[in-house]
Amino acid sequence: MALAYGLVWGAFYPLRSTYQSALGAGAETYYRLEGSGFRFWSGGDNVYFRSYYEPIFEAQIEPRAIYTNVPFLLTLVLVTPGLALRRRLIYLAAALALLYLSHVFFMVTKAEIILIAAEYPGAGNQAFWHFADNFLEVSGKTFFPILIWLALCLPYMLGSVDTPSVAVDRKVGRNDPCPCGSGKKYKQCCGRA
Amino acid sequence: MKDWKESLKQPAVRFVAGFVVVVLLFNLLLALTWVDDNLIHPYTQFITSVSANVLVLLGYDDLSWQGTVIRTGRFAVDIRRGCDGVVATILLIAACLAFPASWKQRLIGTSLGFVLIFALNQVRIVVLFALGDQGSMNLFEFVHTYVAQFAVIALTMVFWVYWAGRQKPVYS
Repeated sequence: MALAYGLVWGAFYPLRSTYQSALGAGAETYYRLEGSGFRFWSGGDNVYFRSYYEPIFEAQIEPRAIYTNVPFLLTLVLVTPGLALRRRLIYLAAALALLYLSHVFFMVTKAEIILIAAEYPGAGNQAFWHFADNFLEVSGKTFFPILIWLALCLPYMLGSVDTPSVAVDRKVGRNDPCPCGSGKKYKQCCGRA
Repeated sequence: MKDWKESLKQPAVRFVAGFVVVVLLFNLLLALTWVDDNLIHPYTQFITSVSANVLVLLGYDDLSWQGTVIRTGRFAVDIRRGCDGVVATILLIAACLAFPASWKQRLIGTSLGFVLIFALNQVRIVVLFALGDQGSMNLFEFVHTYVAQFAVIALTMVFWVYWAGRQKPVYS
């Protein structure tokens, strides 16, 4: 697992500024959908945002720590035993997409907290965004990767959880094929007793 | 509509929903000042004193500690939220409680996991303090941000997978 984490980190590290720009684009899309206007751009370890309209407002967000989650989640999906390659690749793509959405939420939350602190007109609900910020700071950094990993991989990782033994509700004749799938007659297999 | 309702009864869906609910409940509790003052802060002080005693045993004779701060003449660390293992503990408790095992097994899993997280966190604090005290600040930052956090959570999940794999799921 440590080796996989190191390799994934090595692959992801050069892409982190691209990922940061993509987060800015996602946050910008959120504000466009919401009807208010902010432009986000990436620089160094920070993402900056600036309002389109009066009153002009500019601030910076530091999303550095959330990068850890991308290699973390990808490593979990990679090292989970019992997944076929095709399914694993689909899960990697799905995991990355879901994590991206959670990171956009992180960016929007940080932006809202800055706007609330600055008493910017049109800033969101104070109680909601403060709880979201506290949650993301305390648990969210690891909660979302773990949740996505569990949701994607749990049914296959723990086959017994998702596939409880099926109760046979019809009568099985002594000469019928055995429902256990052995290919033998029922009377020569599970029905022997 | 019926299919949608049926899918909600799937054990995996119920597990994930239970996991989310328990994590959110614990986070609501953590947002209360009373919980922070009377449970989390004393627990963090206890973690600090254990780490400090381990460091003294390892030969840090000039070490002192107060509250959540451990210091020598060269270096000091303040053990804050996120470095106390509480987040990993919440995730483990939620994963154990949401899993369809017997209550006895859930209690055993949670207790063993708690001890494991406490021990892992002690290793994290001691290693980080040793790195900082030696003046290896770049290495300290790297291990603190990218390695230690991952290691504690990942090993917690490895423990949970091992525990869950040994359970006979109980379906209501």
